Amino acid sequence: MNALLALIETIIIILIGGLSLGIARKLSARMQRRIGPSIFQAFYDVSKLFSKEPFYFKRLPIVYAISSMAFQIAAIFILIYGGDTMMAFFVSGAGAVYLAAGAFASPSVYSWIGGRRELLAIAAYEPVLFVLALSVSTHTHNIILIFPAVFIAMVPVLSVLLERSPYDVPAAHQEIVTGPYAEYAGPMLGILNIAKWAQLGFVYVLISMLVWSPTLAVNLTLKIVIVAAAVFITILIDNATARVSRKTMIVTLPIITLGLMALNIAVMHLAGII
Amino acid sequence: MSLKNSPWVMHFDTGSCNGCDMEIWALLTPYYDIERFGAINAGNPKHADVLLLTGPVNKKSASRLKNLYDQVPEPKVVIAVGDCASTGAPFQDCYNICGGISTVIPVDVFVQGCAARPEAIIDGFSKAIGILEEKRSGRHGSERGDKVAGAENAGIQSQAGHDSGRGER
Ligand code: SF4
Repeated sequence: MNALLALIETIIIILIGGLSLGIARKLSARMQRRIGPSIFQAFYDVSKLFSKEPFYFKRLPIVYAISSMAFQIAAIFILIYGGDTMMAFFVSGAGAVYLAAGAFASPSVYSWIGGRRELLAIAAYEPVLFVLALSVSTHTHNIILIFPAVFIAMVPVLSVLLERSPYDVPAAHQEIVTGPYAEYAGPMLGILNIAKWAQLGFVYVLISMLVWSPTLAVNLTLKIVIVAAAVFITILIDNATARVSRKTMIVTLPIITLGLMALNIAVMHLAGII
Repeated sequence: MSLKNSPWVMHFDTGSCNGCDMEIWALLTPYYDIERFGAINAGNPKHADVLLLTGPVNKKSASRLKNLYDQVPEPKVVIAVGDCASTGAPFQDCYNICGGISTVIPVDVFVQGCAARPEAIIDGFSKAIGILEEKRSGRHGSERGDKVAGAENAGIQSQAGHDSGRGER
């Protein structure tokens, strides 16, 4: 019974991940004074992809794509079912690595460049995500009051995951014909999209664990507000910046985010709070 | 319902004067905002549903065009944007020109104008989305009594290999 409930919650979180992509596109369009697509665009896209002709070239990338989705979904399930946060984090990380592995399994050069960039991006954002997972697994209640830097550090990470400037290096849209996704078509691309929703959902759950309140309604509102704020700031930065090179990403992303957190811990320690 | 709401576009220039390409890029600006139809510029044939093509197809690009067309998964539609993409008009009878997209691959929608106006391209685009939906449900061409969808283009398709082969030489 408990497992069933956790499963339903997992599905809802994945759908929220998908919805957030549509909301992000709509927000971005409104910021550019465009009408923009529907907020359910991500669902339309995936349902279309599943109605397209399957277009496979090799079997290995398919295995990787499905594993990537399975691992991302498993990560959310572990988190919801009350499993270890760090365990969930590593499972989600494995899902991200499978995406890069799928890119390397295909013969296209663009896919290879994308795979390499994906690995660099993982190297840049996983440590930050690790610290977030660590802070929510070792502290309870309103972590954001003690570690506000953790929330700020999530913005660059979301920028990578939502494929938004300045850190949208792996997919990079036109530049390398969508990088790790280059060789996938039709239903397989749909599966990778669902993996992306799940990964986003996982990160949203981690972010939402930064706030807590004893009353259910206040608790839910707080959680939604903090995730929405993170997405909003990411889109705002996206519209104000250009894509950086992969070298700049791998240097600046960890230094800014981890540096902020170190500063946070130092200040809190000196103030005698922790 | 699904295809209509998310037509992903791939734009390819087969050797045009770039006039129509600028009009196509204008579609992405806030003024015309083609993204409100759910369209994105995929830039990758394997992700595309709609091929937005410009240019009279010069001999070098014919084989590339055929290659790109073959990489787009079904169902797909092809839009020839501009007079030169439709008939080769301003470049007609040039030594290096095949004379329009339809000499290499089957075209579903022709948009006229030199350069084609963005409004006309959007009009052609919405027609193309309708055809895409018909193709998915297998209704395309049925009003004319065609047995196989796109059968009217079968001759042209066999011509394609010939043309692109000539382009290689
Ligand atoms: S139709 Fe005219 S403006 Fe458009 S690409 Fe051809 S020559 Fe240029």
